[in-house]
Amino acid sequence: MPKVVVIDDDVEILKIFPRLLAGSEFEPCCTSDVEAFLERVRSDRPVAAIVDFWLLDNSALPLLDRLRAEGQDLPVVLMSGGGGGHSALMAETLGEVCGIVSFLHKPFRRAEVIEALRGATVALN
Amino acid sequence: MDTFRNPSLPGVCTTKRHLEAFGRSDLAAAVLMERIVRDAYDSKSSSAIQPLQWSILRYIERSPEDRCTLTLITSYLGLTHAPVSRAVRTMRDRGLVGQRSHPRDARSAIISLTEAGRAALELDPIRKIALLVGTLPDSERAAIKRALRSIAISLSS
Repeated sequence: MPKVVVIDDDVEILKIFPRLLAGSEFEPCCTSDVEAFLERVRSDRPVAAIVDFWLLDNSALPLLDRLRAEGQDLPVVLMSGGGGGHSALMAETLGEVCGIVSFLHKPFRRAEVIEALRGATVALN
Repeated sequence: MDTFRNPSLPGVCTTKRHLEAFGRSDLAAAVLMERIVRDAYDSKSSSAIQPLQWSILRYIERSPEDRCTLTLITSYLGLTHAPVSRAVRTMRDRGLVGQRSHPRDARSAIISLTEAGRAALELDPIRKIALLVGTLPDSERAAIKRALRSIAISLSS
């Protein structure tokens, strides 16, 4: 089953993903740690990643830079509900400048996540 | 604090303290950014679509229908309810958007684009700038995106 790596510093959000993607064609691997996320990307060969815009006190943009620097062309779906000085609009715009394929505005529904992942996978193919 | 007018940038007052932190060409670059965006928006006419209204139109254009409620648009833009509500009302009165009841939430309404709204988006002024960015050599495109990203993050933090 195609894997999707999910990173969010909010573990409550991470707990949602296995239930959210249950019954779909995607299997989530969730982590709140940047290094663990990168290791998953290298070892699990996921088809996409879902990345929260805020990872502790930093934006996810340096992480997206690291992905690209490692030569990973993994499609990234960015998620944000705004906050931390950035609206969801700004988070999406900054993400798009960094090459994300899709954006999820929190709170989102199951169908929206699956649609975003399907779109991301199509973009990869 | 002492201020003075910069002869190369009429109308711009600056401070000596600021000049220690950036040069004249940095200030000129900031003025260019301002001019590029201001010139793209033809706001001389009172009937022109305002920047916030453009943001709302763009959101509606690319969002699923059931996410086009006042609450979600306001949340996405990171604004308060009142200005977004006013902007939607103005655009509804001008025939750019329509409103109808939400099928699953009696308290909210779905806001959608009308034909006039779609036609307006074809002339979205921001597209002019995007087109010009798209014509830059790859290295310059990457550099401008990188620089704008850094500035945007610094301004927000």
